Amino acid sequence: MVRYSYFPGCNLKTNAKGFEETAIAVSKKLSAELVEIPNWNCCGTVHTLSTDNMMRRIAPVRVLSRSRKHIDTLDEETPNEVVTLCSMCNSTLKIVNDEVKHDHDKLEKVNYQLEEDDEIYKEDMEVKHFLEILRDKIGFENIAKNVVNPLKGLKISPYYGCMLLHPDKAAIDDVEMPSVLEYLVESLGAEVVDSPFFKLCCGSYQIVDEDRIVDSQVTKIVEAARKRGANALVVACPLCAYNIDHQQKILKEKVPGKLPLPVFYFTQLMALALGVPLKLNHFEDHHINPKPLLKELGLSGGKK
Amino acid sequence: MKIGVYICECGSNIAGTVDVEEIAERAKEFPNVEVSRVYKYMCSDPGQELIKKDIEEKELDRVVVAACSPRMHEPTFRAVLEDKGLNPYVLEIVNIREQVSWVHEDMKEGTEKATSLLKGAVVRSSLMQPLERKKVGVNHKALVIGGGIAGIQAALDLADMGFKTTLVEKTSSIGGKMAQLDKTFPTLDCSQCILSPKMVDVSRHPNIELLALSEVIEVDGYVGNFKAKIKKSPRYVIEEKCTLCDDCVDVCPVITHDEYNQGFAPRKAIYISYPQAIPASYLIDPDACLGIDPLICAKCRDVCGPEAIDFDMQPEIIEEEYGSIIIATGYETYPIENIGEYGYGTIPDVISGLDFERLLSSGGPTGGKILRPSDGTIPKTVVFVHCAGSRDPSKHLPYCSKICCMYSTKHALMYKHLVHDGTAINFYIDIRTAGKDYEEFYQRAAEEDHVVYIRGKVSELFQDGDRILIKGVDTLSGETVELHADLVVLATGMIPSEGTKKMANLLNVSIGINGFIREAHPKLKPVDTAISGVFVAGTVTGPKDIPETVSNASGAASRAAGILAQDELEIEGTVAKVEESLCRGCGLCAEACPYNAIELKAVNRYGHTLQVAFVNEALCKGCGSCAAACLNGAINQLGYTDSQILALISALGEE
Amino acid sequence: MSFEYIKFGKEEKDFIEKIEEISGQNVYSCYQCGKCSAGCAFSSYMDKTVNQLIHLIQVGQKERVLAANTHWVCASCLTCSVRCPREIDVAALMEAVREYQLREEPEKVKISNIPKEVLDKLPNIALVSNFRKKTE
Repeated sequence: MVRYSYFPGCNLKTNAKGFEETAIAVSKKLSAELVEIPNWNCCGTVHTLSTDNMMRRIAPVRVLSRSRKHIDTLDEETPNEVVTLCSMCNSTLKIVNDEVKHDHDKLEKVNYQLEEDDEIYKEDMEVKHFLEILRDKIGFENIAKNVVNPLKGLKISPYYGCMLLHPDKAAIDDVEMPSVLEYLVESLGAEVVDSPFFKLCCGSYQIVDEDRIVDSQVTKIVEAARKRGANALVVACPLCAYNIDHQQKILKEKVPGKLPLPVFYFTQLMALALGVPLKLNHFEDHHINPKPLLKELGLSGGKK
Repeated sequence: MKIGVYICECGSNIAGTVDVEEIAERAKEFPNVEVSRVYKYMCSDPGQELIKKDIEEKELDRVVVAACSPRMHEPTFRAVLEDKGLNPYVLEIVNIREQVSWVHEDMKEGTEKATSLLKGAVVRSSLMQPLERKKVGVNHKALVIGGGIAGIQAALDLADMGFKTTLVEKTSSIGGKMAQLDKTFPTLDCSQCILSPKMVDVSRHPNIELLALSEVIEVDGYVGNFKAKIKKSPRYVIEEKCTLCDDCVDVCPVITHDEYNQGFAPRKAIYISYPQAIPASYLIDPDACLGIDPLICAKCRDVCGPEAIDFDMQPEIIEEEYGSIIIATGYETYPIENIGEYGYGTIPDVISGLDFERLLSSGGPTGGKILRPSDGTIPKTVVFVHCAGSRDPSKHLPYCSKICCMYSTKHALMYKHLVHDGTAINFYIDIRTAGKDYEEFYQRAAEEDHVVYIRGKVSELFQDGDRILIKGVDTLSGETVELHADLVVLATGMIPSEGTKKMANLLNVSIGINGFIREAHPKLKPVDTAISGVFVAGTVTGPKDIPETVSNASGAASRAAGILAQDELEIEGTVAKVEESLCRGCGLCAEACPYNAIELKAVNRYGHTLQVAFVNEALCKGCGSCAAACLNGAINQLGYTDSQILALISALGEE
Repeated sequence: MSFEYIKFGKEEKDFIEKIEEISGQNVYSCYQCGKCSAGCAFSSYMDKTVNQLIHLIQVGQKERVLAANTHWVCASCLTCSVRCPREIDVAALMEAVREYQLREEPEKVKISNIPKEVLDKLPNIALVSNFRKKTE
C-alpha cells in the first residue's frame, strides 16, 4: 500500500462529498491510499494571471508548503508528490509550483508573508492529479483486473473541462487529443462516446452572476454528447459537475422533452465498477439523479 | 630594412580629423622608416604610382599604408607591391579612417591616436615576413547531391559548361517535389510538362552521370580535391533493358501505399513512381516484396519479356573524386500529424496541400477529380486553411514559408475551375504575393473565380457527422464564425529534408536555427557555404518558389564552375602553421577551427607515437582561432604571429 | 460613423505599459490572426472580440477597452493562451484589463446584490473563483 499525500480542496467536503469518498475507497482497493493533509486551506480555486498580485499567491504557496511538510511525515515509499482530485486545484497548484521554482523573487516575497505561520516552501515537490496516478503509477490494466461489475450499457462521454488540460504546463495529457478518461472508462467496461466538446469550457465562475452563459455552454456540451449516443457524462471537476448537473435541471424545466444526462465523477464510476458501497457515491447530492439509469442497466450495486 | 610609410588624406574624410602632415613628420622618426609621405587619395592611380616609384628608387622592402579599412583596398595595395616585385604580404595597412577619423571629433586626439597606431604598425612591419601563396590541383568533376529541380538545373548548367557531373538522387527518380505538383503558379503551367524535358536532358547529357537510388555516405578532402563514397542501392531491374511495358505490375501479389500519391493510391512491390520517371525503369521495393533473398515469389521475372529483372543485384559503393560539390537536397512539407487542433492527421477529409496537389493531378489517385477521401463524393464546400503550422513560434514553425498563400490561392482557383458550383473559402492572416505576377494571380482568383477570402486563423476543426465543423473568425468584420466544410486543405509550410540534415553533417556545413543550411552570407553569398568548394542550391537554405530555385541553382553552378574551370587554386598565404616541436597534440586548435581545417595525426618522434596537429591550408581561412586556443603557442597564424602582435601592442603603449 | 481621433501620447503609452506590467506579456507580439477569438467559447457574448480588444490595447485606446464587456465575459478557460501562435498568454491580458479596472473600482460584482438563496445553493468553488476574478 503506497500512501500519497492528498489535498482535498474545499468543495470535496461539501458539494462533492461523493467524489472524495469514492476516491478514497477506490484508492485503497488499488493499493494507493490517499492520506489527507491535516491543516490544509483553500488553494484559491483560480490562479491569478497577473504578475504583481502577491496576496493571491499566499494561499496556494501555503498549501504547497504544508503538503511538503506532510510528505515528510509519511513513510519512505511516499513519493514527493501531492495528489489532488479537483481539476481546478490541480491547475492552480501546478502553475504556482512551477512559478516558485523558477521565480525566486516571487517565492521570497510570499515566504516573507508566510513566515508568521512558520511556513517556508522547499520547492522540490510535484503536484499530481489523481488521474495521473491512475494512469502512470497504477495502470489501467491493474484497474481492469479489479473490476467486479463491468459497467456494460453505460455510454459515457468524457468531459475534461478546461483546467485539466490548460495551461500547457499544467496539462495532465495531450492538450488537443487527451485519452486518460477514455482509457479509464474502457477499463471499467463501459463504452466511450467521443465528443468534440470534451474541453469546451462549462462557464466556470460565470454561474454566480451570468448564468445565461453557463446555460448555453451546458446545452452545447450535453447536446453534442447526446447526439452521438451518450447516456451519461464523466467529469473530474466539482465546478463542471455542478454547472452541468444543476443547469440541466433548470433547463429541463425551461425546455422539456429531452431527457437530461446524468453526470458522474470518474471515481464514482470506478466505485460502481470496483464494488464499493453505493452510499459512498452520495448520489442524493446530484441534481440529475443517476439512479434510474443505473437501475435500468442493472448497475445499482446491490452487492453490498 | 627600409620601410615606406604612406598616409592618405582621403579628401577631408581623414584629413578633417587627423593632421596627416603632422603624423607623416613624426613617422620619419620611427625605426627603419626610409620615407614618409602624404597623398590626397592613395588608392588612386597617381597614389599607387607614388608607392611604386619609391619601392624601385629607394629599394624599399616593407610598405605601411595609413588609410581606410583593409577590407576596402588591401588587394589594391598588395597588387602595387607585387607589381614591383615585392612579396604582397609585407604590406601593413593602418586604418585611420574607420578607427580614427570616423569615430573621433577632436583633431588633437585623433592625431595622437593615429600616430600611436602608425607606430605600432611600423614596428610590426619590420617583423613581417614574406609569405607564399601555395597552389593545389583541381579535379574538374562536379558532384550534385539531390535530383529535384535545383539539382537538375545545376547539373545541366555544369554539364553544358563542359564539366563532367555526377547527379546523386536518393529516390528511384529525379524530379523531386516539382514532379508531384499539378500546375505551377502563377502561369498554371503543367508542372510535369515543363519539368520532364529537363529530366530527359539530364538522362541524355553525355556529361552527366545519373545515380538514382543512391546516397552519398562519406566525403573526405577539400576544395578541388573531394573524395566521395556513394552507395547505390540495387534496383533489381536492369535499367537499360526495362521497356516500361507494365506486365510485371499485373502479376505482382503485393499491394502497398504509393508514396508519389501521398499514400492515397496503391502500388505494387514492383513499380515505377510515375510514367515520366527518369531513370526510365521500374524497380522492386525490397521492403514490400515478399522476398528477394531468399527468393519467394518471382512472378514478375517470369513474365518479363526483355528479361530485365535481376534479383542478384547488390548494393554498390562508388568512389569518385570531385572538385566542387553542390548540395540540393530540397525540402519536406510540415506534417499535419503535428497539429492537434486540426485533428493530428486522423480526420480523413482534412488533408495537406501536397495531398490536394495529387487530387488535382490527372495522373493522381482520383484521375484529376476532386473527391473526398472519406466517401469519394464531390465536395461542395472546401475550406483552405492558410498558415497551418506556420508563423507559430509557440508549437510549430516560427517562419513563413513564402509559397503557401500562393499555392492555396492556386488550389482554390483550380477547385473552382473543376467544381463550378462549389464554394472555396480561404482563411488567411496575410496574403503574401511578393513574386512576379503573383498579385495579379490573387486578384484573378478573387475577381474571376470568386474565391472567398476570410481574414482569421481557424482555431479548431473536428468531424461533425459526415462534414467538418470549422471554428474560425472574421477579424475584419469582428465576428467569430462557424461553418461546415466537405473538405479541408491545410496549407503547410516547408521544412528541411532528411537528406539536408545528413549532408550537412557529412560535409560539416552549419545549420541555422530552423534546420536549413546556413549560407556564407545571407545577402551577398546566397549559394556559398563556409566550406570552400561546397555550394548550395534550392530550398536547402530556406523556402523558395520555383523561379527562385532555378536561379539559385544556376548561381550555384556558376560558383562551382569557378573552381572547376581552374587547373590550380591559389591559397592565401595567411594560413595557420604548426611548430611541430611545440605541439602536444591536445586538439584544442582542431576544436576551435570553424572550417574543419585542422586534423590531429599520429607521428613517430624519437621512437614514440605522438599526436601532432596538421593544418590543411586549402581549408584554412586565416581566422586565427587556433592560434588563440593553443596553450603552448605551437600554432601561429602566418602574417599575424604572436611576436608581431606583441610588438605592436608594446609600441602602442609608448608615448 | 465619424472618424475616431487617435492620439499616441503619454496617456496611451502609460495604459499599454501598465497592461504589459500586470500581465507580463508583450502586447505588440500579437499579429491579429484572431485564433484566440475563433477558439473562445464565449465570444458570442462579447461586444468586442478578443483580438479586437487586444488591438485596442495595442493602440492605447483605454476608454474603449474599459467600455467593452469582453474581459468580464471571459471565464479564464485559457483556450486562447494555449492556442496563440505567438505564445502570448491572452488570458493574462484579459486579467490585466480586469485588474486595471478593479484597482480603481474594486467590486464588479456586489456580493450584497446576490440573493441569499443563490449564495446558499452555489458551491464554494464557484463563489471563491467568481469573487477572485470580479472583485479586488
